[in-house]
Amino acid sequence: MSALTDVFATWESATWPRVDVHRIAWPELEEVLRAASGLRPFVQMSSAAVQFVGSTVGARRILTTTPLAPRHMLVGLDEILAKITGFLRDHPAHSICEPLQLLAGALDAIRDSESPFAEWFGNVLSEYSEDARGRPEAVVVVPRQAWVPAVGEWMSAEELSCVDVASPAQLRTVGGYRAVLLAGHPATAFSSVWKDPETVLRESGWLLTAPPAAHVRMALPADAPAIKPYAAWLLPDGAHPPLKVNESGPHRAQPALHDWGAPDHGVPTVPRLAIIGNAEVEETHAVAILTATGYSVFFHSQLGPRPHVVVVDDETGGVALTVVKPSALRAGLLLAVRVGVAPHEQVVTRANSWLKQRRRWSDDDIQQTREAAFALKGALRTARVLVGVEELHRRLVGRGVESGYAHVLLHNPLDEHYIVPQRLAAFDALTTVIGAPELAAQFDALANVRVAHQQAGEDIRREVVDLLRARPWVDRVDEDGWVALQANGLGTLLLTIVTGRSEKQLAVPRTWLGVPIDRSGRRVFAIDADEEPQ
Amino acid sequence: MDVGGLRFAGITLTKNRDSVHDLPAAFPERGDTSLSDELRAELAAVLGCSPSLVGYRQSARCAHPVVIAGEPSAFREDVACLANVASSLRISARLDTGRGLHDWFRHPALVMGTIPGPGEALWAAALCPRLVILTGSVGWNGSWRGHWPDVPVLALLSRRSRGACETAATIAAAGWPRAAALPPYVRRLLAPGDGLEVLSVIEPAGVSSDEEPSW
Repeated sequence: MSALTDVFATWESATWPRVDVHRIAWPELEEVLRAASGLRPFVQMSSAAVQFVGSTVGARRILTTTPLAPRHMLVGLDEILAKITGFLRDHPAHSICEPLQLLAGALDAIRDSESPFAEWFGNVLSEYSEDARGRPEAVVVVPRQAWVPAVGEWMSAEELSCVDVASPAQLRTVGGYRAVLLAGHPATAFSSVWKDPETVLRESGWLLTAPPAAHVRMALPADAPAIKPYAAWLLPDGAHPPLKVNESGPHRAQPALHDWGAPDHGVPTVPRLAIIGNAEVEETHAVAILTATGYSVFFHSQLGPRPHVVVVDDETGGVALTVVKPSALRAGLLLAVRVGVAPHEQVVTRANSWLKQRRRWSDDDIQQTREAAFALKGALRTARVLVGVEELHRRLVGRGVESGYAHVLLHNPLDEHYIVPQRLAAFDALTTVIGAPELAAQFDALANVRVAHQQAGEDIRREVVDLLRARPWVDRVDEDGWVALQANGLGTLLLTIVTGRSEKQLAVPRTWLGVPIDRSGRRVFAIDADEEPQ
Repeated sequence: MDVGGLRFAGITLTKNRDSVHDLPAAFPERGDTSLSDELRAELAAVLGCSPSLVGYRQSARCAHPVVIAGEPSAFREDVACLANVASSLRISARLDTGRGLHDWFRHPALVMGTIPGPGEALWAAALCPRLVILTGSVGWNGSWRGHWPDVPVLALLSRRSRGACETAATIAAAGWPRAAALPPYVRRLLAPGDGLEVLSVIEPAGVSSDEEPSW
């Protein structure tokens, strides 16, 4: 009975959650933010400025999302101050010294202050005890799992023993509390350098719209942006119910969300295309997908490997590896790229094995059919030069092939992985217009190879999904933006968050399609799981 | 076929013809199967017929199953949870589920991780489920949605799941037209409320492709 009760308790909390936001003034903390903003003009030219602003924003994040005191080791103020002191000593004439000294003063001042967030947590939690089942009535949400023990220790020290402390990941399937306590603006409390604040707010919005308790009690710094209820839903206006947020406490002028978080970690760049212009290299035009590793991956809309993205369902534990169109790749998606030369060889090896076992083919049968596939590419390449693509297209259409598909037929077979069109009539038309009618009789054999490759690809895809189901990699991707997994027998699998894409298609060697390319324009053949990408 | 009956496997059917199905070309070969006594008794109660007719009735209701794609173990846990608290509902009979499309005609609901594409089940397009339910972002993103363009798809996403955020953003940004011409009772059901976000759109039928597997 309890499992179903919990399901309905969770739904009930989502039906009409009450969200009370209490604003908290912390003048010393506001001064820290003001001082840090003095370094922002330098972040484009000084890595030290990026580092100091980043670590200050990080400390601020802990102070505004937990009850921990400024002096707590997790906040790291002493470490930041020591680094600032060292920098000022070593670079006394650096242009950031003046704003840095102001920041050091502000950090020094807040180190000696008491946390008003701790006071708020203490006051609110004193209203709750345990429910009829002996379970704490309230739960405190801490943005990161790694901070949970420190916050738990603070609760114990304050003799607040009847409260749960959990990260959002631990609460995804939990409900039934009376109150959930949440501090800090969700867009920054759960921020990620790989995602824009709006996306972060949508992802964490469930803590307001489908919370673990029907009553959400939230503490926000007085200078934090307002919580916009509509931004916490997944679907656009008109597709979600209303959500009312009640605010109390002091309220400062509201900065825009984008100006409030950490500085960008550099603009992603397209690799240097030094190799282009070499007449011996076959080129094509492709869009560059920029990733959190610093590597780019090029995709063509019709040629080469298709982009694979990984989708994780936190609630059910499901993992999917799906093929998307290059045009659908956008920032935030998790791209899966197999690294090295092994991927295609594995498909061929497995496909050959399948043909021998399931179709009783000999080595000669396989070789002859593969030669026919190469002959198709050669004949098409020659016809494109001698006859012209437009004329070939006209002839295909004249033979009843639909115009869009005719374009596909004149491009796709050039791909090294391509074997044969899906449709016999299209194959007949193609072999006729490119002057290779002798290949028409090979359709059935080629179709068998095609099926064998599909089977091999599907087998590999299943193995990769099995690998991904063990999910210790999720935290690493959240933190670093990428992870390299060693898949037994499948080589290296790179999972990396997409950070952007080139505005235009770029001329690149065809061999670059679907593989990681570093910033110097070199193909990456191996990634160490513990390596720091350039 | 005789005028008075349908003859197959040495048996002539004069009634219950809706329990016999025309299998599409390339439908997978399957071993024999039979209902357990326990399930037969449950089905007899649910279908309101004698146990001897259960096989016919069950086969007839399995012609157009509900196809459910998502994490099968999560679905089964939910069903078990429901069965435990309401035995009078006879959940095991109502939600007698097969595993994968190849169990078509044998179960009223088919549960699978993702709906396979035409490369694995080209024959599926010749059949027609009554409803497709895609549960979770994995069910949506991993499934081939081109088999049955005219069958309604119910995509269930939990906003507590991170993957749902990406999926919802993709659907919302796809620019698919809203489903405007719906009967009033359906429109009422599809109104957001009670904690549920609801969007009803029409996904355009897929464009023909000629893609090779990349790995």
